[in-house]
Order: sequence, then structure tokens, then C-alpha cells
Amino acid sequence: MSHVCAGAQHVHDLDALKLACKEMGLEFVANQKTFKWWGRWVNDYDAKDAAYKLGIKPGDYGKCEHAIKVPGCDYEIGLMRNDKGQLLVVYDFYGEGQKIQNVVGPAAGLLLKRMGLIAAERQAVKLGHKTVRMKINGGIRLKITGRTL
Amino acid sequence: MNKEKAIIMDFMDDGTVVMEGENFVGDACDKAMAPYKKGLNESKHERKAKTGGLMSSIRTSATVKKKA
Repeated sequence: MSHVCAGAQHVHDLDALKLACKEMGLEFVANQKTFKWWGRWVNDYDAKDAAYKLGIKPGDYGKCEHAIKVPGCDYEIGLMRNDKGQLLVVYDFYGEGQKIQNVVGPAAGLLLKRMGLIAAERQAVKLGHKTVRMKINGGIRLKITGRTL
Repeated sequence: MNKEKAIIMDFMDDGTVVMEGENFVGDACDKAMAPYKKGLNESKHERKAKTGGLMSSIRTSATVKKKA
């Protein structure tokens, strides 16, 4: 069985994703061209976040531009280009892959959330503004302040 | 001296991002938000009058939910 899903949000800032991996205890492996999963697509997962529905060819499952390792998990996350050229976070969440999902959230939502947060923080600092993070119910708040915003 | 302004971004666990600006006047809020919208799938944008200026807010589309 394989359940290969992809995050709906594409990776628009690879450096921010690398930092997000670090914050979440994941290992980003640049230029690793394959990632570990069940190994065979048996056409058994077709929810909205199924990777093939987001433009990834099932025949390419397991191939990637970069990979992310989750400590204690034999499966890995792959960064794959879809048919629009966007870089997506892809992984098999069935069986062993559940360990990945426990860390990055459904459809990698928690990892992509962290990437967006870090990308915004970096942008703010670049523009000379101050940032502060706050934990809020169900998420993280980033407040960007400045007189020249 | 310019009044301090703020952009507040709430990154929610369900994948949505809610963004609000405070103490902006006119189109300044949209301009200030622009650099932070990159990569977000904006689904809703509204402006409300607020003491001290306009408050502009956006909401992004949610990440699709897992279905096992």
C-alpha cells in the first residue's frame, strides 16, 4: 500500500524550508535524487492531496530534487517538481510514513506553515523591520512592526 | 515622525494564513503586505475602516485535508 501525498502550497523559498527543517528537527539533504517510500504505486490513494492530483506523475514517485529525513523513520520526504514547475513536498504517509505525518502534519501543513513563517521573518528583517513570534491557539502569530512599513 | 505600523500574520496549523495590517492609510497597507504574500494562495481580501487608518486583511486558502 502507498499513500503518496503532496502539500498544496509549493516551496517558494528553499532557504526558508531548510531553516524550517532545522527548527523541526528534520534533516534537509540537498541534491539527494531519490526518497524512500513504499516503492510501488498501486493506485490506491486518490484524495485531494494525492500527489498525482497536484501534478506529480506516479511514475516519478520516489524521484526528487532534494530530500528530507525524519529521525527514526525509514521513509523520507522528497521535493518534486509538478507539471507547473512548482516544487512540492511529497511523501508516502501510509504505514512507516505515518511517522513523517506525525511530524510535518497532514499534507506537510506544519512544515509548510513554518516555511512561510520563516520566509516572512527573513523578508521583514531584510526590509529593516522588527519581528516577534507568539504562540496562539491553533498556530503561530508573527508580528512585523516598523515606522517605514 | 511616522506612526508605527504593524502587519500581523497568523500561520494556522490547518494551513491557512490570516494577514492583517494596522495603522495604514489608503493603499499603503496593500503595498506593505505585498512582499509577504509571495507564495500564499490568497482567497479573500477585505478592507475595513479602523481608527487611525484602514485595516486590510487577507486569508489564504487552506491546505487540503488528509483523507486516509
